[in-house]
Amino acid sequence: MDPVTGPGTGNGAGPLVDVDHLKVYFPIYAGLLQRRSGDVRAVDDISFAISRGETFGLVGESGCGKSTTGRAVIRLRNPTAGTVNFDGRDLMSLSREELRLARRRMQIIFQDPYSSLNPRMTVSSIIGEPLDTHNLGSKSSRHDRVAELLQLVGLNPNYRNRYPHEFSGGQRQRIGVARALAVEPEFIVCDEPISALDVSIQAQVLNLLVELRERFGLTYLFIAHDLSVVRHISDRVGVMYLGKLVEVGPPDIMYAGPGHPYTRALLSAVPIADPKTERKRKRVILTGDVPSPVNPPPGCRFHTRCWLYESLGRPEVCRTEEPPLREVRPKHFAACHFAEDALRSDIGVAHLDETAKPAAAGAAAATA
Amino acid sequence: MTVSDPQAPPGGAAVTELPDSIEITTEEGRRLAERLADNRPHARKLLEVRNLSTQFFTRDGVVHAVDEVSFDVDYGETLGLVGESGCGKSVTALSLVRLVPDPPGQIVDGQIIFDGIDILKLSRSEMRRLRGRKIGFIFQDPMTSLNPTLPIGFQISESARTHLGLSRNAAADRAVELLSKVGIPRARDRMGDYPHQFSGGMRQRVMIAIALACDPMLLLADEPTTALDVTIQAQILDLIRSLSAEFGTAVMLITHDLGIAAGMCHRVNVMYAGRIVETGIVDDVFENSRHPYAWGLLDSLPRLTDTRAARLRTIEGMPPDLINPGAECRFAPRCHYAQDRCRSEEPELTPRDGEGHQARCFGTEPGGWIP
Amino acid sequence: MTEQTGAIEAGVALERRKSTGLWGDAFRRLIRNRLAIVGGLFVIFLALTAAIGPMVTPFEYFDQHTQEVISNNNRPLTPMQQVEGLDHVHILGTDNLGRDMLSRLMDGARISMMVALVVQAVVLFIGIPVGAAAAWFGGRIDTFLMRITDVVYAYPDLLFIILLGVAFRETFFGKALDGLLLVFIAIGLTSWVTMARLVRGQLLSLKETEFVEAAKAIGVSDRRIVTRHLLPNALGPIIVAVTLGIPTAILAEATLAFIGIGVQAPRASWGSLVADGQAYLRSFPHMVLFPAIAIALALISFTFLGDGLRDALDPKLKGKQ
Repeated sequence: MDPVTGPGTGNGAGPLVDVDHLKVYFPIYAGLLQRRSGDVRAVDDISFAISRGETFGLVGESGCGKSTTGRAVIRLRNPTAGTVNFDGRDLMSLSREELRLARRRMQIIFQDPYSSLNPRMTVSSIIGEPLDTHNLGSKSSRHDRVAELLQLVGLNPNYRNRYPHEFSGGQRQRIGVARALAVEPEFIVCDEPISALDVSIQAQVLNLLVELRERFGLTYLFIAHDLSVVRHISDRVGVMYLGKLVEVGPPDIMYAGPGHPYTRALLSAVPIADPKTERKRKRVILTGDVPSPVNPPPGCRFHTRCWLYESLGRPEVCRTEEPPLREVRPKHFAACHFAEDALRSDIGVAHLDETAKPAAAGAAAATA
Repeated sequence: MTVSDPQAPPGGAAVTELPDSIEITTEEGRRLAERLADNRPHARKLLEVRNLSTQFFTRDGVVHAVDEVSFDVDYGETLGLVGESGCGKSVTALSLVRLVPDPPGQIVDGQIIFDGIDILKLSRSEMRRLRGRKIGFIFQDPMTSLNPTLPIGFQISESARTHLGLSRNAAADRAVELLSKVGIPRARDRMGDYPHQFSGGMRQRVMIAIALACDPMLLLADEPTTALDVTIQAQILDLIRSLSAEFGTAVMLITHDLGIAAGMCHRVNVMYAGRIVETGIVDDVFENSRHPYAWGLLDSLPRLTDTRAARLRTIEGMPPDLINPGAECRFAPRCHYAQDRCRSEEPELTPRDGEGHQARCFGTEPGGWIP
Repeated sequence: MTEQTGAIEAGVALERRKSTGLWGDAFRRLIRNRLAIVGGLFVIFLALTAAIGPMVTPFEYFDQHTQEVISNNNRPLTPMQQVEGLDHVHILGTDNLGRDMLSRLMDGARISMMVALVVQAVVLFIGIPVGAAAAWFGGRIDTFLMRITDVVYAYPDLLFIILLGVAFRETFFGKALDGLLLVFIAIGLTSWVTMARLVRGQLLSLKETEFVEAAKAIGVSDRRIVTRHLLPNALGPIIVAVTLGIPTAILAEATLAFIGIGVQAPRASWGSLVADGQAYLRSFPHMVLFPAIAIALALISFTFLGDGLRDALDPKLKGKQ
């Protein structure tokens, strides 16, 4: 990939993306005079780093703050506090022009293939817009580049003059990928890129993202709610709950032995496509709804729904002190006062009994 | 609250034993299990569908959304209709209760017998009575299925009053009972609340309460948890499972999520391009599947046990055009195993190993070329 | 459920359809709407009449054929009335001063079409920038602009226009275009408010869409986001609003002319024709009937066309197809 001139120390050392004590709050205005009555604490003090070439998966359920994090990391939303460093430079310290240049190095793919493309623009305008905006190449070379990008994502370049509504969901998502690749970025935030697609199409697009990563040495922040998808593509996974990072680690270690009770509950809720496993598994069903991010519970945010809290006799420390994210095993971090107990539990690991078996003997023979 | 509908068939159902996945939690459930266990198989099922065909008449042509689909649902069982978007599963469900928008859609052929009643011969008002009384619905988006201007207590009791003829107070009591049964805390206090005052998971519980208000024989659940978070989804599925076991309600579960089907259903129909391509009890379809599409689906799922960046096996191409389908196997263009016969002739559903296990594929028939 | 039928339509192979832009699809939907076709045809007819009508008629709208009236016992001629010694006939009769009704009606058509164009031009010229600025900048600017909008909206339109008319009637401005320019500007100045609110509403909701977020992520400049992403997607409702605003403007002008403001004699706006013919309503109803019918037809046809456009440009509203 051609080196792109842009801001940054660019010395290759250090993480590409460094998030430090990031907070993103949304103010709420209420009352006759529209006074600020509180904040939605969408992201409440999280820190993590992504190295060059790494894929960091961010999972959690709705309202946990993962999408907001994704946008804050490329400054589509301004942080309320904390810093986001891209290649050594604080994004908030960049001037308008520097930020515009920085946008060439970081891009985003959206979740909804139906609303992420302008319905009034042709595919070639959509993909060509980044090239126009940054004045990359001449008019004719841009034309070729658009065709090249379409082929890269598996679409026929002859459809360049069609409109988004003429394509299927999976194809539209590919167009979004092509648009993100146009400026040859180093870092791409993938915000639930396959959640809105059919099962068989999800696999296609996921394979595409993996392929492109290998080919261009891309760094991904992969946001999803589906644990199996995230596992598939990530080098490290972070689990978010109510604006906080509750667990971070490599997926093979983490999924085999989660260190946080929420992660265990999450894993035990994931349906597995194997009837015998489904019948045998020990499920922990979380009661109640997710608390409001305006007034999160004191102490550990998860304690109001935590099965471990109940089974340990409701220890006071969970109610009063917020657990820090600490290393409970090499490279495996969890934010729980009783992570060691969580590690020893057998909840949420039913999937380990299931060996990855092919769907039919014939299919196995065909792949051999 | 009684379990058995006084109009239930005297002989009981054909299911002679309950698979492991039903948990019997109440006395009534136990009685149901006993009743099912000691009756001889009875010919009549709760729902018998024969050669159902539903088409949409559009500007571009006639879309064969559902093409000669036949299946049964037994009293008290959970049947899964599994497939991706466009396969016809939702249209099938709508056809069963004659809710297909007309125009442009129309049931053009077939027979639907529900509890011995020929659905397609009913008048509109008779159909409406049947829908409310014997069939309950749970849809994907509770916000659009619930009336935002009416309190939920009213919406639940309205159904009971209309169809069961209960007095206002009796209906209200029943509504409170149902609300607490579906797990809404402080049910009586919340009777006057409006849908927007509930979270997504809670709203879905309200929908379930409305669906069960008249103690229906069949629950039609169309992607009931797709819009919910995975932990809430687990709650709701658990609720549906336990309620259907407790009251002996049959469930027709429509979903694209194979994991949900594996955990909830006794039997599964896999649909593709308007046809059923495989059917059988859930273990057979998942562990001993005999159709290349089902294999493709199962293989393309990312698993919690996958290694990093193992390339997912995908089904290439896209679902076919449902306008003027040809006389070939509809999956042939995307099938690794397709041979000439597949491209000129469409297979029928033929038996495979396992009770009631059928597949629509030449290659996997006994003597076929796929091992 | 709609997801399902949507997926069915998506199942139609890409190769099958010719590429049509969204406008092409909308046009096809429009021409299937019969009322819209009828309305549209009449609008075209009106436009042609306004453009070339007065050049085609044998008479001028201001020609007073006094001789004919006198020879008719000082009475206006009725439609197709034969007068001895004359070789021509007035198809729609004359007024009390001997002026040919048909020619005057055609001049009225011209005026009405001018109202349609000029007023809407003013509306767009003021309404779009105000709405767009309020939506894009938000905050204080939005509040400020919207408060101005509220004041203008609350102000009694008719009173304002009459005031303007009376105040400027003797000036150059007031006399321009036979008094019409004043009327057009005045009507425009009170009508832009709805357009501004509409544009603001549209842009506010479009601002939150993901494709606008994508444009920001790419680094597209603010100005380009508004012109390339926001406005083109708001065009549909804007077009509909313009079309449906025309009947209001035409009626407003007719009302003003009826009470004597705006068009100066001898120009003939349909409203002034009705006023002139009022006195003769019982005896020679044709003087009032024809302009009244003209007004009614013009209003209906623009309304049908506007409704058709609305259904064509936003089929979701109709709920079918």
